[in-house]
Amino acid sequence: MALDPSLLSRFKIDSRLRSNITYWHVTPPRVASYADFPENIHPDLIKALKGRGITQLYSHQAVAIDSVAKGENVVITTPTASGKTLCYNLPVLDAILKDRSTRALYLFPTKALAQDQLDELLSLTGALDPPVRVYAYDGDTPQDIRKMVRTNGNIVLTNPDMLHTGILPHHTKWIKLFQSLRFVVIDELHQYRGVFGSHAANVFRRLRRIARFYGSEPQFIMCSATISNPSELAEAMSGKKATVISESGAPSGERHFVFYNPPLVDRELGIRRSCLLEAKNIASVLGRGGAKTIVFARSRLTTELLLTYIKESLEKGVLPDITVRGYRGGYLPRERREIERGLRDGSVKVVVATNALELGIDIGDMDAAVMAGYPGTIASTWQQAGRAGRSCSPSVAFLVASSSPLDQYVVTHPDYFFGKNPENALVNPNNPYIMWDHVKCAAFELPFEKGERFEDVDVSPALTHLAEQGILHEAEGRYYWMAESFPAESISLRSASSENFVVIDITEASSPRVIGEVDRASAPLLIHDDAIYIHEAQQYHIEKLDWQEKKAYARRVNVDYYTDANLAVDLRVIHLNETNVHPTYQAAWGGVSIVARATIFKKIRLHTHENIGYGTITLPEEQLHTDAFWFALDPAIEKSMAPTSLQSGLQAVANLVANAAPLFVMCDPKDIGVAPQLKSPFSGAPTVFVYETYPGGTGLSQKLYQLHESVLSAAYNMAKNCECLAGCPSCVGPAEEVGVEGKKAAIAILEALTGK
Amino acid sequence: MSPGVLKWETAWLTEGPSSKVLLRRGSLEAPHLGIGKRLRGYLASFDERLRNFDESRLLLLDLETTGLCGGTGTIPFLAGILVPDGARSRWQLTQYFLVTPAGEKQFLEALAPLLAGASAIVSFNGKRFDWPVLLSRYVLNKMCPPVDDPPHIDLLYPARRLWSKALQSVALQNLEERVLGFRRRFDIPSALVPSYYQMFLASRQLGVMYPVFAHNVQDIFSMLLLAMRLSESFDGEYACLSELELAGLARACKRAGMDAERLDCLRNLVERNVFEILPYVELAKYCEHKAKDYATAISLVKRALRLAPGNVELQKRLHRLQRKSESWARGASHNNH
Repeated sequence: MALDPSLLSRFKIDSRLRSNITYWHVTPPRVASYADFPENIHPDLIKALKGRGITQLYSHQAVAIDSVAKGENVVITTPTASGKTLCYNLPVLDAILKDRSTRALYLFPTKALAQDQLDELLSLTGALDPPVRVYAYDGDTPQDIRKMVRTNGNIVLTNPDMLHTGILPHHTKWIKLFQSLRFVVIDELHQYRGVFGSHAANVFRRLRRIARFYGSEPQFIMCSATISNPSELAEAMSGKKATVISESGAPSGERHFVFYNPPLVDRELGIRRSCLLEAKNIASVLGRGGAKTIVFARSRLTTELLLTYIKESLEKGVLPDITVRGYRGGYLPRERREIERGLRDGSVKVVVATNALELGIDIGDMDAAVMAGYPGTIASTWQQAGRAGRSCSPSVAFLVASSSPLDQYVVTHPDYFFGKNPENALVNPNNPYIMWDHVKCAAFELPFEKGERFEDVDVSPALTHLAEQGILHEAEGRYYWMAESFPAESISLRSASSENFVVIDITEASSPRVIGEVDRASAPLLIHDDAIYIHEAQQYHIEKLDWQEKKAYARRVNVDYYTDANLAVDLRVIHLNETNVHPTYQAAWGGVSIVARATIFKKIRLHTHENIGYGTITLPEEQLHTDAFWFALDPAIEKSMAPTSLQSGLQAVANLVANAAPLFVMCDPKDIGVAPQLKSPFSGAPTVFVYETYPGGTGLSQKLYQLHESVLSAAYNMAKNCECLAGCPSCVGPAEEVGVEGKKAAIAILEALTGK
Repeated sequence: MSPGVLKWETAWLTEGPSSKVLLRRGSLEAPHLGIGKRLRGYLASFDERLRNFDESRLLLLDLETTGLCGGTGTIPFLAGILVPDGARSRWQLTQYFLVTPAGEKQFLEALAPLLAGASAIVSFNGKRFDWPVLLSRYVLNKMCPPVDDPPHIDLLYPARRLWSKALQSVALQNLEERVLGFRRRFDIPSALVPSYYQMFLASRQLGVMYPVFAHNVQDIFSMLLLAMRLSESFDGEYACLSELELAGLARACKRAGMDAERLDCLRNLVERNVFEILPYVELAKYCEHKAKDYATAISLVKRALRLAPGNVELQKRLHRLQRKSESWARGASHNNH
């Protein structure tokens, strides 16, 4: 079933809906720009491609193939569904057909994606004779075929985690692969950012070290969503400069992209109607109109809320029931597979999901995507929107803004969104905590020579230290692994996944059961004593959080509120990396030490979102050494303001900067925190600190420091262009948090900082 | 019970200070194995080269390593090797000890001709652990492995066939106590072996290693005794075996496709009037489908039914056999006319 055009016009006719649309973007159909196959491509491959209906290449594919042929590392950043996979499959298969000993390693961020790509690749290689041997190698690969994959696979599809624990530490078994490793393909490169990206960059350092040992120097071919710094990220992963290919030659059908800003319900407070309720309305209109619709919510919590609302709206209507399902992390794999099947065979019409469904998991073509809240990055937004209408049928994506500042900035600045993507995907491969772990893994894999560098890093202090601990043994200028442990096994590439807390439902005392998992960082905020935890649209009251055992005991309840917790932060500067003096402020970045503690939580009524009570949280404080970006105000600004308005202004500016940062660095809001200090012990002046919540930092602070003029300017625009009177959640934060003077003071401070 | 070493000699692998491998050599008195036709047949069902290997060039191998989880960071620092000595009833035991990890090339070079010259390697769990670990060391030192895939007798597998039903675990020490009938004294647990080597590297006191040397000798002796015991079990008198062993042997023969030997085991079990119904049923199946001897099959199933009166499967089988038997009898009488 395709999208009914009259359904779209309803949004234009209905005056209530229409008035909330701030921008309606139509991407006109684009004509393809073709190129012939390069002349020296193996004829069997051209035959196989023609057999699948590929008779010529898009221009960007030809450029990519040409660059690969020149031996360059390449990163392709053309849009979703522009045929990026052919950019690597073609040169790799061509090389294999010309030399059967050629090997390639393909990396996908998840097992599910590797499986999808395996199917696609097999349909192409099936026509080749003798066949090119392509296998997936991951945790699910049966033991009895692993040896065959290791010795015979021309192309091995895997994920960074498997490379880290299953392949590199056993590289001698993979000698055939490493001796002839010509290509390493990294798909979804933009996913390799933050903690995961910083780990992965080190895994690739280890990969190159092992490849060099066997005398091979693989070429890297990478694909990424559109970001601002593809070449920087590609270089961090591949260790070398990479050629960026961004100009797409692929055709595309007509695409509607609608920015929808829920109406203000309180102009003075800047409060808008809930984006969840608006998204529910839009999804219900689409669902009733017969469109297969995917609704993206931003968190597990909002996924569950939306699921409840949409179920109420669609499953109890006059029309026959429309099946609505939820989909998010924390559901069991079996449940997930069942929902994916339902979407493909059409028995599920509407699905409410977190970004777990954003990547290429096969759910068939959807007609419409509704995003309840901005997904956090432009790259992610395009990927979520891309789940609808992949097959060139007309499609529509709705971005429903929440009151959050990022959302408000995006829906009111369409140029930011539809212009050149300003987002940076950042990693910090030299994060000491992360790199240290991988130096250990590398030492296990192959003894370090004295004076050997870990790519460009001098690791001799680390090696000496490990030798002192008896983990390494130094003999005749080499460091031998001497511990009994297997280091890769205890190191997870994904942040602290082994540290998850489980939530146990004890409503039936006789049969307690695990209903979900919560990561360590979120636990103090989501499952503290007396929190309301929501799972599958069911509310649970947390009776007891056992911090030691990482367990929370919950009981099913039915209440009309949810809970929201606060974090208190104490920050000290440990060292300064770079600083830079401006007329009205001094900017810097460096290392900081932080003590954080969850203090209180608020009870907030459902639907109206009013505050109906408080509670205290008693949990141990968390210590953290990390990186931060900060700026200290010139005394002149301080003198020009009353102390109380300076205090609320500083909090308001801190909030604004935290809100604006994700516009430029791709991170989750939870990856950064802010700490305004009225008189910082370090600078002696009013100072705003923006710190990273991951130990050692993942490169955000340095980039924020580099881009701070743009960040401050965006923060200023956020406050200045907001329609509220004295602060609201969309800009500086609600007046009850930053004070009635907060917004005015923040604008004054930012005017002084930016010279506006 | 364990055979004693006659005398020990200790020497450096090569003359002079460059030697990084210490050799401990001893000989012991014990009969040669004389692996018989049935065990060879069983082994050959997994690797045909094991049907006719030359027993005088057998090599028993056991490694002690810096870790037990495998991977390229696991270094074997002690290789115990036992080979038959030319003279009858003599074996020669050699331990190669890596005094520093920097001597690994020497260590591997010394082992290479032995491994390459062996007609078969005997180990306990060596297929999954010792052999891949050793191979990976050659690759890691950029040396050509002396032999890629030698004939390999991993005693763990036949031991599992024979004794896993009777024993909780077929770990070597458990087999020693429950099958071979002795208990180690003054031994260190395997799990502690890596830490002894770490202590040695830190202290350079060779004395630290003696418990590990002894442990390795014990392991190798036990492998030799286990090999003897397996050889006897497969090729000796069935009367010497317990019911469980005999049943295990029948399973092993079934897996290896050795039907005649399997039937021998089953008949022997049935003759012993065992309480387990399986041998009766297995033999009955053979009589029914292969030998077409319905009368014997019926009597076997009846004996099984006496042991398990309510067993529906058996009753069905009995009825089917009786039908077949009658129709066969009719057919026979018909043919007579």
